[in-house]
Amino acid sequence: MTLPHEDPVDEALMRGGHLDDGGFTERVMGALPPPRRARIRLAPALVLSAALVAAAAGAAVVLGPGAALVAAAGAWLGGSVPLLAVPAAVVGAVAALAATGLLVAYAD
Amino acid sequence: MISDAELVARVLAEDDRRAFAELVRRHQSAVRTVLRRLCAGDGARADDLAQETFLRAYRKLASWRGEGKLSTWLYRIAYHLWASQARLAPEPRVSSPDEVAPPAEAAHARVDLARAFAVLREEERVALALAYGEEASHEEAARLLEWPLGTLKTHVARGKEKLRRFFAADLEVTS
Repeated sequence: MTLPHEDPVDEALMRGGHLDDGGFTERVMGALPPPRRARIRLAPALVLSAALVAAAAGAAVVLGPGAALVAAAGAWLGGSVPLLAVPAAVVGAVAALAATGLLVAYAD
Repeated sequence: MISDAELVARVLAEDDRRAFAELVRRHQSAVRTVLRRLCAGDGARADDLAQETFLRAYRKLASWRGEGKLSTWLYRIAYHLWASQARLAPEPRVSSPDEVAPPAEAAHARVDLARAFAVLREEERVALALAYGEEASHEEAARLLEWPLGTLKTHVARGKEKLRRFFAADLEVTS
């Protein structure tokens, strides 16, 4: 067996030495894609935005130009439309929150 | 000290960037040294490949099963990246020590050794770089390269002989 000190090439190959990081780790970390959590948390934000837009559109229909239509429908259904609108809005809000919660749980 | 396997688990479970940075810090020297030898001392090219090695490792971390050493898995990625680049743009092999900058000072011995790899044939360079990587062995290098152990040892022996001749010739020139 050849001892390392007897063969300078062998010794040099085995020695290798330690390369200083010199900013290499920082360079690699800077090149990584954005953190997964931040990317996934965009999904709940989109769901909430969509729910808000839908609620605003619903309010515009009920209180704005669509009021006459709602009144006509109310007359036809015997005044039950406003009563139906309340549980429908609650169900919609709960569904939106549940979807948001699920996505956050998935993200975590 | 936290094991590599635990750090990998944290990256996979929580995308823990501090854990991944620790893995890079731990293995950067070994990966960069192997690549510097494969790139015959071209430090900039070796570091570009080393960065790509860690980025690829991050993307494929789930495929490391923890059975072997993480360093061996990183060497495999580094070697394949280097080999695919070498296939696209083969570098000219120098034929004599005169074409390689001679070792000047002891402080630069590591760089000079890597540069001396330019006199080797590709198989010899690969065999020496991987068999003498940090925490590496001839058996692991042979497995990684999918070569019989005997073949690897033959290339290692030939490569070392050429390096000996290279440094001997250099001593004659400089003395």
